[in-house]
Amino acid sequence: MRRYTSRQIIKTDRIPFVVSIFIILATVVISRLFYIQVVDRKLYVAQAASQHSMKDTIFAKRGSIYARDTLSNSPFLIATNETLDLVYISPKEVEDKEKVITSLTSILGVKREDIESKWDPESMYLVVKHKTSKAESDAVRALGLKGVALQPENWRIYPENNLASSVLGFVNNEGDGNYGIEGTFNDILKGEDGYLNEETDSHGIKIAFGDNGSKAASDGTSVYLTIDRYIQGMAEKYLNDTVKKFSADSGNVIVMDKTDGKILAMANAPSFDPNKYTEVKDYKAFKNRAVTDVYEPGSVFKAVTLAAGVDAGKIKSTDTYTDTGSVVLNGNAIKNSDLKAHGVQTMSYVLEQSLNTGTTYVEQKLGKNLFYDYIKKFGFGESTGIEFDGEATGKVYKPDDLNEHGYATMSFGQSISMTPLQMLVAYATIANDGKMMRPYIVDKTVSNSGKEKKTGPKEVRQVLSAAASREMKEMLVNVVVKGHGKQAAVKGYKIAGKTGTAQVIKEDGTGYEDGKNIGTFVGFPVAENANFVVLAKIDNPKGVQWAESTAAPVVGQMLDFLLKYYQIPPTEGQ
Amino acid sequence: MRDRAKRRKFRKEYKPTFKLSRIGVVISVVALTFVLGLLYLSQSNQMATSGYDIAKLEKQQQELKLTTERLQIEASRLQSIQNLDAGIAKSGMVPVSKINYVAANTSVAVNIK
Repeated sequence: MRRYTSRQIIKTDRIPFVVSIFIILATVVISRLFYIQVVDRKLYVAQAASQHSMKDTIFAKRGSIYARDTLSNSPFLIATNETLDLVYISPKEVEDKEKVITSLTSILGVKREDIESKWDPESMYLVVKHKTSKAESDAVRALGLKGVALQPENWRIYPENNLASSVLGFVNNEGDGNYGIEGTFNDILKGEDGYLNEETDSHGIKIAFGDNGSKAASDGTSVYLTIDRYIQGMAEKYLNDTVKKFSADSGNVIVMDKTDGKILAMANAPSFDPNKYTEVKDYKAFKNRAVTDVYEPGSVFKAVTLAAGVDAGKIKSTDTYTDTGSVVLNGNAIKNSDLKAHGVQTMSYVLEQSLNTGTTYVEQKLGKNLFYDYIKKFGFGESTGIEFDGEATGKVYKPDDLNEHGYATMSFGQSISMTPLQMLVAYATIANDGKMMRPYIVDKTVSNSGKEKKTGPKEVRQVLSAAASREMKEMLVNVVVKGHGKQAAVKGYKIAGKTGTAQVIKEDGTGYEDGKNIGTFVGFPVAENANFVVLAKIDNPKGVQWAESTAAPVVGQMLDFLLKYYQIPPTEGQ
Repeated sequence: MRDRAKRRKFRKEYKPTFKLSRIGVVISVVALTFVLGLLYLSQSNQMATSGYDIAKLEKQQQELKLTTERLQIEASRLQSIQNLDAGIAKSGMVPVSKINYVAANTSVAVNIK
């Protein structure tokens, strides 16, 4: 066997060559490693993170809105959220187009043309139908068709449809509230979205004890209203029937508890279905005109003038004046609506027959400054504080802004503007022994953690003395018994109230519209535990002139219902 | 006594020696590592399984929440004023026209079967 010396083994040119190759290769590998791990580090860290972690937004659930249900003494859901599936197609992934279209049209009830017209073979997303029912979703899922998928979507729904729609408002596609309670309380109803940042395995399933940095969503706060859903339902029914009967432009009915200011019902006509708000053509339907729109109320304001006169000690219900049919101030004549002279009449008669000359007499006795003070005490010209954005305050002229004639017209509800709610609060004050309560519609809010925040009643001020209030109630009862309010009467009960038929100001403000009027009636029972006050306003009814034919019957119907609803026994012989 | 002394001497003189060769050390380390590794794997596996269970339960919880939500909404719809009105009309009921109020101090006899 040949033996090699160590010199022969070592002595070869190939070893340095091979070593050089290895050194070069090693240098390349190390350089590449350096490039990947140092230079491009951030890129690869991000890619790795995206492969083994999941990031997503957790959408907060919007708070619900509840009405009251007096009979069951429990809250009733009138606005909440529903998770419904969206069915969509990825045309690029579809294997059998005909089968997909035929199956979906039959299950979902959509038209074939609606799908075919949007079909793009390269597209990954074609919406077929939103808000599918559970049965439809299950049927689509059971098909197991490639390229057809379902995606859950959160929708705001209103189980009672039109009920209290102008009070509620609606939620748009971006999840923001508009108008009503949805708009005013949007920030607390919406809640706060969270996020999901979790480590996942190769199948995308969360690793229980991985490096998770999530933040839970904070669901929205729920709002509980003072609205009673039965009273609201009846108010809307009577209002809609009357608006339809007289082909009126619009109308309002408001019911308030005089003792604590709770709004029991607030109806607007026309209304809308918040589930289908996109179908509404005239945005005015969204407004809660009971608080956003002002008008000159007309004769219904006369009770305020007389209440001021009685409380100030300037008149009593039995005091008399001589009605000559006309009072001339600053060269302008003020006449009664019937254009008659009634001779010597009492203050009670002034209200019963709604005499403009009578209220002018009272206003003259008060004087501009004192009259203005009482108007402000009754809350006119300022916000009531009710929980709605966009509440109007109306216009009250200061004594120096109008001459004698102008101020005298204010005594019968002209040259002064207010919202229907402000008018109702004034009557509630008269009915509540002269004590004005702040109207409110949100009873309480409850956060997702269960923390309650109650609103509670708030006394604004004592506007009239209890004695003046009593005297006014008697005069207002006479209006219903002997005057223009007979159609608001309820057999077996003393009903107090006043009509008001006002002219409508022209859009350009230069006078009044011919043939147009607004009829208002405010009424309340004079009975123990009958704490409700009702206002009805009918805008521009056709074929009828006076509020006693339009607004008064609505109030009569509401009072009849409320007296039965609250089980108030009759106070008068039947 | 002699036995006791003998045993004492034996204990003093006898020192147990434990000699481990290099191979023995390596084998021991490998075995220990293997056992620890098994323990770790078992723990990780248990945690991973828990993760799947948690995910499954969370999915169930979500489905139950959705069902509850759906039922609440269905209950609200069934009790809605519109639905009640339709039911009333169908059953032929009429609004109350007159209520008779009975005074609280009236004696009332009730026959209970």
